[in-house]
Amino acid sequence: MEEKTNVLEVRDLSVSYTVANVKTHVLENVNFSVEKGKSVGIVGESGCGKTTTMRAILNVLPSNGTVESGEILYNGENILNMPNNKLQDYRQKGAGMIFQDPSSALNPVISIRNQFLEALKYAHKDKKLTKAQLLEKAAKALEQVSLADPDRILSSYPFQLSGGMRQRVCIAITLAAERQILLADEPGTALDVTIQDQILRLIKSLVEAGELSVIMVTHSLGVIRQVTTAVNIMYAGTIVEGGDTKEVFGHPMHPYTQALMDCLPKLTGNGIAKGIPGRIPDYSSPPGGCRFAPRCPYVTDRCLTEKPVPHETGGGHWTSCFKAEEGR
Amino acid sequence: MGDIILEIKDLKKYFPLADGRTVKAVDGVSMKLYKGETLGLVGESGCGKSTIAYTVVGMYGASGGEVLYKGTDLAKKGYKRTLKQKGEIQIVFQDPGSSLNSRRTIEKSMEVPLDIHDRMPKEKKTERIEELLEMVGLPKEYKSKMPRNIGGGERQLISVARALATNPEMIILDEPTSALDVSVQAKVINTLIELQKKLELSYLFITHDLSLMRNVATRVAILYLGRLCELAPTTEFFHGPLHPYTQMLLSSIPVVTEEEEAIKPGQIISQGEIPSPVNAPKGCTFHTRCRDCMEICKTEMPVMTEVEPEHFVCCHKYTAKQEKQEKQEKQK
Repeated sequence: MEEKTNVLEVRDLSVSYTVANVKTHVLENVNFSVEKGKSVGIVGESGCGKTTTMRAILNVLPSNGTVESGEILYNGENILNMPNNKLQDYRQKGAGMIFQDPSSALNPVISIRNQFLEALKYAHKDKKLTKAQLLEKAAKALEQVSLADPDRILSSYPFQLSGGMRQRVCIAITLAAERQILLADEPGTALDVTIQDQILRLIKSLVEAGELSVIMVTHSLGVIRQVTTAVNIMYAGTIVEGGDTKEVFGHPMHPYTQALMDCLPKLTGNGIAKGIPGRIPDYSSPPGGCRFAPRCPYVTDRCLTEKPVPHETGGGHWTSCFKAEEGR
Repeated sequence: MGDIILEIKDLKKYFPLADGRTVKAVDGVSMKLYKGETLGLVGESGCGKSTIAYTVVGMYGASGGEVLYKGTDLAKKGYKRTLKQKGEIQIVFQDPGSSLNSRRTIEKSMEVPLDIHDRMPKEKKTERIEELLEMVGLPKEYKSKMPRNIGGGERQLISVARALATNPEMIILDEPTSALDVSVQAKVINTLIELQKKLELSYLFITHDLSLMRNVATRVAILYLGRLCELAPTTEFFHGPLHPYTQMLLSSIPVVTEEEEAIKPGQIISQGEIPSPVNAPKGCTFHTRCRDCMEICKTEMPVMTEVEPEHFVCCHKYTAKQEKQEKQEKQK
């Protein structure tokens, strides 16, 4: 079998937050990996732990958050117990993040040129490049993200650029720093659909050209389907289903994924399903068994007490559900 | 088609800027809303969707044009709306978190329209509030809760219940579900559809989500930079979009199934960015991003033409065709 190289691997990650002396168990045994030059998506509704996962990957959890167990391997090294200088290296050269709102990710009073220089200075610190060489890298990256006239962009301030251009600049910074992984947190949500479409096409083409590995989190199933090759469906801090994007969207197996797909208004216009009753569980005392059990139409006694484990159903597609496992 | 409840004629709304320029937020929009239908108003941010809503509801005065509600021009200079008219046209906003007072109980918030529109004794008021909550499918115990203690979807249902308090004839829904998760959105939308059937409401539904419109709207209108591009019955609109912008918009939607992919108009790659409404392009406002741009588009503004019954489009491609046809007919 062909050797797969995982750039990043998340193993059995559990994260909890302490809010007002109450411990909330947010992430529970999250597992996924990103192969080099591939894109992986994490989809889930608000409050399901998407952003917590991203923060953990950069090791920037808020001060009240603790990693209970698990490890995050970057090229085989666990970033969760890396010494500080190595961790810095990882953030400067390894993984870069772009956010939902590109206007708050860029400093409004610093020109784009200086924002590039700041990031590149550290990312290429070993190579002893001159300023001119760094700027050349910046200009090249701007061209890669289809921003014409890099000189004008470099001398502008963020407010002089449109939302779509700002998002392109954020991506270009990651490219110019030659980081391996792009963490994209809802990269198109704040943009208009036609502009979002452009940004998604750009990310996809960069992945296909082998420039980047991408982890994208979003609430939009459609966005994930368009961009990623593998997908993980997240519900209440657990990944309930995962696999090849086409396969998962073609044959969703977990009741949550199925319900979510039904709820989405479709262009074919078959009306809208009733929605999913109930809400996500209280993280301070999550259900003992499957976390989706209280809202699941197929719930059995086993679901309430026993935690389901990933069950492979072929084609690299797996789901954590007793229904699929028992073949009901 | 039924009776016309609202007719907007050549509506204009300009905002002056400090430096003497003007933002033409809405620039000559005409459309009709029939009784009992849902008219979907779709467009990207900054195209003037909300401005139209606020002008119809009376939060803004119009800079020009007419807003005919049951034949009365509400936008006429100096015209003061009667209490009845205000009650009959209601609005539901996008973010229920900020449209409900966070320091008031649900009951207190819902009392306001009742106090203004039909004064009644305390017990009757409580009864009416419970009845309204029941209409939107919420338990009556909710009246003593605070907005922060209930979910986002439930909060939006409270906003809908509050809009219903004055027995409206039409409700403007300004992106009512775009702040909600899809599983919650489904419930709110279903409640809205049920209420419409039961109370014969007319909805002006504003959104940027075309997939949602496909399932909710009777007719769809597309807005670009303060002007209408296309207006058509929903099925026709999705199966035969005519305006280049509409085609680009439809092909940009990320979808989840193969069947949907088949509906999208081919490989139309979205290009360019929306120009600023302060200095909108001359001629057709879309010509800077249009792949079928002709010379005439850069100088002359196209007009709304009815290409098929009830299917209007504002594009030179089609007006030219129509003129040709007319000429041919004359020659015959």
